[in-house]
Amino acid sequence: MKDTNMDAFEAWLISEVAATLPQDNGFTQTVMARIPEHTVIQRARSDPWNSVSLGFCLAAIGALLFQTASQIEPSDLSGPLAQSLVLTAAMIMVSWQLQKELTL
Amino acid sequence: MVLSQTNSLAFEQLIKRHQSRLRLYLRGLSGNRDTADELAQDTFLKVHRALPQFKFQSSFKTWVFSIARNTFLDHARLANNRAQDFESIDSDNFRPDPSKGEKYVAEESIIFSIDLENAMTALSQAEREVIVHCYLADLTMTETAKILNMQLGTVKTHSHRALAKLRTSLAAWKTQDSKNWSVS
Repeated sequence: MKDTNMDAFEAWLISEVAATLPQDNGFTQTVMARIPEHTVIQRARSDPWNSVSLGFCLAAIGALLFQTASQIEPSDLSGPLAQSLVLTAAMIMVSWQLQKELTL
Repeated sequence: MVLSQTNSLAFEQLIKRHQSRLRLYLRGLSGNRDTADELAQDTFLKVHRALPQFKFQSSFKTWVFSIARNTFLDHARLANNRAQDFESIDSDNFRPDPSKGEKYVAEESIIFSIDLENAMTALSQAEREVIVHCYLADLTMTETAKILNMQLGTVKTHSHRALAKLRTSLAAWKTQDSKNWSVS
């Protein structure tokens, strides 16, 4: 059997609770103001790790480039010339990325 | 990721739409107004970050309130202060704070909030959670069951028992006004 007394109490409770709802009073703006700051912090936190890994990458490519370039014969330019050029291009790209990370 | 102006306006509307119930819900869970507002802010920041991952497998409201509940549970776990928060029922928690630009609220509503909070201390943890979800957050019983990971029947049982206890605890309100309900 339906408890009409309980239904009446429930309806009363719902209306009383609705009357106590907090007003915005700048709450929305407070949250909105925190959003760019929040994302900037997240970005800044990840930057050192990006820089470190790019630094390692640069050092590894540099070591490889030194190794291949030392095999090139300067008199007739024979040896791993193409590999050296590819490694030089890779080194330039990684340096550029690292520079971007460090200046952000 | 930076919000574009359109996304920013849409998200602002989203906060405006849900902030009221969400803050009341977190006040119900934490028992403290300032803690609740901090948690509500954190919840919206999490929602903003997780929005691209929202899969529409549940209603948006259920998803937001699930994030809010997890935010509260993390806070309670970290600070280990859940019991303290429940104990520190202070009438100031329900009064507008002029320093924050809060407007006047009817005295009756403030007194009701205090009485309701006191009445809810008599409920079991599960009953309290069901009341907070169904009546403060205005979630359906199905949504409440999903968030609390309970059977729908269990939610209904807790709700019925909790309402009966609240009706007794809030009996004084019956005598003050001529409401259409009685204690028995």
